[in-house]
Amino acid sequence: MKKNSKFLLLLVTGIFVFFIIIPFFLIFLLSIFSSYRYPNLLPVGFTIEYWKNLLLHNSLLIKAFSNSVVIGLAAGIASTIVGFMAAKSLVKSGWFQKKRSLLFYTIPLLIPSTSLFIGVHLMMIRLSIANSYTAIILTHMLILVPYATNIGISYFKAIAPEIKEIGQTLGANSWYLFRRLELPLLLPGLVFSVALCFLLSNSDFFGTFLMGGGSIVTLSTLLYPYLQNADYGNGGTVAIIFLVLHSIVFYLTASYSNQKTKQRKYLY
Amino acid sequence: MKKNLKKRLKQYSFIWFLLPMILLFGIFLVGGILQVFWESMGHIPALGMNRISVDAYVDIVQEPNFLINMSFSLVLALISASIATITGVLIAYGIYLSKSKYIQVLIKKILQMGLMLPYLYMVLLVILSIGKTGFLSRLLYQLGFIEGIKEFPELVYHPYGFGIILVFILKGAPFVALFTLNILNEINTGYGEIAKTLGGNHSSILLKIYLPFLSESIVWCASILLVYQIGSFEVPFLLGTNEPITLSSKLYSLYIHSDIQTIPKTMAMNIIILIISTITVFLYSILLKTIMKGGKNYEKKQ
Repeated sequence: MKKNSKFLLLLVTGIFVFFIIIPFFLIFLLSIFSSYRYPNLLPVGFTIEYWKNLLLHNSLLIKAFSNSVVIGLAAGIASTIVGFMAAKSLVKSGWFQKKRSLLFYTIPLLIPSTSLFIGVHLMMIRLSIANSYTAIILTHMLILVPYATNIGISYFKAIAPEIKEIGQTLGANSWYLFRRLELPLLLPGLVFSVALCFLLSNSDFFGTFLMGGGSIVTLSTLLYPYLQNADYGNGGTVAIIFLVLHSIVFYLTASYSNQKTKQRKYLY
Repeated sequence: MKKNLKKRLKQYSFIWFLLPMILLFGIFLVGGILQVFWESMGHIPALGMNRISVDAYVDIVQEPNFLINMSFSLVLALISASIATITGVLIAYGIYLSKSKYIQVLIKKILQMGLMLPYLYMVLLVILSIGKTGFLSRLLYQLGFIEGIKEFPELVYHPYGFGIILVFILKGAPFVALFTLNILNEINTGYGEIAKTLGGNHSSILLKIYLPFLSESIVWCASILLVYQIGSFEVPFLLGTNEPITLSSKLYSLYIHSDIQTIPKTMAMNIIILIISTITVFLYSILLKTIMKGGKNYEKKQ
C-alpha cells in the first residue's frame, strides 16, 4: 500500500508536469519563435516580433494591464470589506456553525455563472451602469464575497473572546478594540483575502466581457480572440505577462503570510 | 422597557454588518433573476410587451435537440466534477501520507499553479499538449508510433467533449485537493494511528475514518465545481463541436445574437438552466453524502 501511494503521487506529478509544465515551456517558446510546423518537436525561427509588437505597438496591452490591476484591486478590497463584515456578524451570532449560513453566503457560487451574469447584466442596464468599471467590479464582488467571507470566518473564529473581554474591562470602547486588537490579528487574513480576490477577479472572463461590453479590455479578454483565432504567438506573450503578474502577487502574499503567522489555513 | 429594547437592539447590532452582503446579493442576484424571470414570461414593458405567457418555455422544450444538449451538458459536468473530486481527494491523501517534506511542497506548488491559472489558459495548455498538432502528437511522430497527423485521434474537439472534460478536471482537481488538504491537516491524527494499530490499511483508513470527516467539505467543493461546469460557457465554446452544444454555450450565443423577438426565449433558457442545475446539484450532493457517510454507519455498528 505504501508503494501504491508513492506510485499515485508520481502519477499525479507526471500528469501535471505533462499538462502544465511542458505546454508552459512551449508557450514561452512560441512567443519567441515564429514557425511551429507539424512534425517538429520544438518551434524554430527565433524572433522578437511578438514581444516588440505587443510591448511597443499594441496600445491595448498597457490598457489591459492597468485595467486588470485596477479592477482586481478594487474588487479585491471591496469584497474583502463586505466579506469580513459579514464574517464578523456570522461569527458573533454563532450562525456560521449552521449549514444554512454556508448556503446563504455561497449562493452566488451555486448558480451557473452564465445565468447569473445575464441576470446581473440586465440589472446593470436597468441601473444604467452597464459597460463601466463599476459594473465589472460589482459583478466580480458577487463571486468574490463568498470566498472573502469564508476566509474572514476562519480568522474571526481564531480570536478568543476572552481577549476582547479583558480589553473591555480595561475600559476600551469598541472602535479602539477593533483598531488595536482585532485589526492586527486579522491583517494576514485581510491581505490574503485581497490577494486571492485579485487573482480570482483577473481570472474571470465572462463577467468582465459581458459587463465591459467589449469597451473595457483586461488581460483575460485580450487573450480570448487570440485563442479563438489560434494565434498562439501573440496569445503566448499575453499569457506570459498575465502569469508573471499572478505569480508575483501569489508568492508575495504567500511569503508575507508565512512570515506573519504560521496559520496557513486558506493558503492553497 | 425602553432600556430593555435598547439593550436588545445592541445585542443584535451585528446584523448591520450583514447588510452590505444582503444588499449586494439582493439587488444583483435576486433582482437579476426576477428580471430574467419576468422577461422570460414575455413581460417587457419597455418594448411594449405586456402579456404574460409561457410560450417561450414551450418553444425551448420542443426544440429537437434540447434533450440531447441538456443531457450532454449534465453528463459532461457530472463526469468531470466526479473525476476531479476523486482525483483531488486522492492527491490530497497522497500528499498527507507522504513523509518527504520536499515532495509535499513540490506537489503543492504545482497544484497552486493549476489553481492560479484561469480556465482560458488551461484551454490553451490542453490544445498545445493533446491537440491534433499538439506536443503528444509530435512526440509520438518523432518516436515513430504514428506516421502522420491523420493517425493521431481528435481528442480536443471530440464530439464527446474530451477536451472540455480534461480542462475541467485539470482545474477542478487542484481546487479539491488543496481544500481537502487544509481540512485533513486539522483532523486529529490520533484516529488514523489508532486504526493503524488495529490493522487498518491506508485505503480503509481513508474510506472509513477520513472520508466521513471530510464529507461536508468535499460535498461543498464538488457542488461548486458541478455548478461552475454547468454554467461555464467559454470552455465548451472554445473546445466543443457545433453539435451537441452545452446549454450554457447555447444560452450565450442566444444572448449575444438576440433580436427583440427572441428575448423571452433567451431568458426562458436562462431560467431552465437555473432550475436544472439546482435540481442536479441538490441530488448530486445528497448522493455524494450518502456514499461518503457509508463509513460512518460502519463506525456506529462497531
